[in-house]
Amino acid sequence: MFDTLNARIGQLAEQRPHKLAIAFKSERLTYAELRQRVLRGARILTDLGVKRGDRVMFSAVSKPEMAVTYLAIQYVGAAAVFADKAGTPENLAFIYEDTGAVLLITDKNMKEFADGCNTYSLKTFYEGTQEDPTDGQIPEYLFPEGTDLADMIYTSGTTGRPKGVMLSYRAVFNILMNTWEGVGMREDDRVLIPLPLHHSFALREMRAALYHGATVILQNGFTFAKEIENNIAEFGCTGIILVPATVGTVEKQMQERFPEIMRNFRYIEVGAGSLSIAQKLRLSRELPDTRIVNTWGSSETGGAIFLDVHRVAGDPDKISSIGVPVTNVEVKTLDSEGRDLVSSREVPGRMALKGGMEMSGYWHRSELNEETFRDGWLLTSDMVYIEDGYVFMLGRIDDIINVGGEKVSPVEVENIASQFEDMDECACVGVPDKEGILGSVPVLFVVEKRSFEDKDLTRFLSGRMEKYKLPAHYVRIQELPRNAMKKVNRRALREIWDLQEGL
Amino acid sequence: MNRTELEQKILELLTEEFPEVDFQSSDSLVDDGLLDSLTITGIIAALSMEFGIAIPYEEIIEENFNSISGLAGLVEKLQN
Repeated sequence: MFDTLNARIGQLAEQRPHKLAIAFKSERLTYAELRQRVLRGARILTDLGVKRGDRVMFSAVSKPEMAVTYLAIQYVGAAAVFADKAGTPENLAFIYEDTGAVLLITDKNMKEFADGCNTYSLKTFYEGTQEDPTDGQIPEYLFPEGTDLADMIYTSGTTGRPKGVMLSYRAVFNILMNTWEGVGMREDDRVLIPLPLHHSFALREMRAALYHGATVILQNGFTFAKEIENNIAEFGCTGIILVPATVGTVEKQMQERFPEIMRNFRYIEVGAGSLSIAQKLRLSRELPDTRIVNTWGSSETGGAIFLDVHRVAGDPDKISSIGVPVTNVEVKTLDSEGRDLVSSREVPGRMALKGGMEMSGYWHRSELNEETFRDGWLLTSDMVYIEDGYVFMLGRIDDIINVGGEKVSPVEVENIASQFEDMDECACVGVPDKEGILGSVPVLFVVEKRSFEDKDLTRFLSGRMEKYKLPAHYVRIQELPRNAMKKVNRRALREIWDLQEGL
Repeated sequence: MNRTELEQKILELLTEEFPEVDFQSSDSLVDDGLLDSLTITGIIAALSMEFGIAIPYEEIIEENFNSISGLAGLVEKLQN
């Protein structure tokens, strides 16, 4: 079961036409006004040739026109692709091409990339939504399938090119409902969003508020602590979202007035990162009547795990947790072979989630998608353990090898070792330290070009990397195991090692 | 120095610090997304050091950062 923002806002426009939906300083739209502008925007998009199933990209400026554009795009059945308002023309052009977008609605000067994009001015678009069209009709709204593509959020992750996270209508709905529940948002909330609107966090907050008939107050940039105070005075904001870094910035700017000002909020949600324990304790002490929530989320899942900071402030164990999943989110841990694992502090596992809020996949990344989903669960790159229902985060696993506390990147080792003249190719994985001292040690699987002696390779490597990165063992192998897409299969290498060790 | 000279100086200073930003392209540098929070923090630092001023909390507001003119007005105010 799912619903769409457009369907709901259509109802809200009738039931609560004069309720403030979204505002930025003096620019304010009631639900009725928002609806009208969306309808007219849909008409403009149709005239521009946008069709159901198209991708339309737009600059996610922190102004009401962002919401109008977003909803208008969905209204005509196209997918909304969010562009960072501060993105470079190059980044925007990359995303435009990657998604095969038909239109880019922006006022950004695209410079040398302008020729490759079909652009339309966002200001012109928004102005066009002001008046009723003199001719022609507003297109009819066709309620989409739950699996239809609604949103695409680009995330760069830790490596490589940005990837498009595809969110279906069903996922978008579940994400906003999870935020609604996790935060404890109410219809009479006026939530201040001083974070970029192309990002998953701000987006889910905005969606949750608009779907439930609450009010969204926008603000540019979270370094403007004074603007927070202004917006509280102007709009009577009841909630705010921040990232951990902003909490510090705002504290530093407001100084001793921080508690006095921030106490105005009924709730504060901190996302896109974990508050430090010191921050959690300080906030719970300074803001006793404010609900403080620290959320774990991702572009791929929306906000999924919520920590009620007041509730855990007095618990020395749970205070370092990232919280508990909301009702409709399931979390489990997997071992390195991908089997279900009952985790503990000593035996953490890879976190997997499911609940209908997860993305459909990464756009045009079928290999990556294969690695990301298993049996209906979405796999993260995070190591966690679960205790008493609370999730504890140990950090991203990816391929980092922890050698006695030192982190070793296998790719770095491989890049260097590959330059050894007798080396054809190689791959590095972490294996348990037989001596039991270091935890893990790197092992290098080598495919020889010409037969060589270990000591020669070691001498070559010693001159080029820190001691702790040096592979503890070499394993000669005929060829490196690779998966269907030609990527080295590190898991298979670890299995070979285990077999060799008689495990 | 007069206001025009001040604006010129600020423009030169910031263009050098943040060459990727076209400070003259807009009167709504913040609104239009040309300045992100990291750049704003950097601008505060650069202006503080260059002009020997401390930018108080009350003045860290958008309208002061939306244009070179806005920044010049801020510096002028704090120098007096």
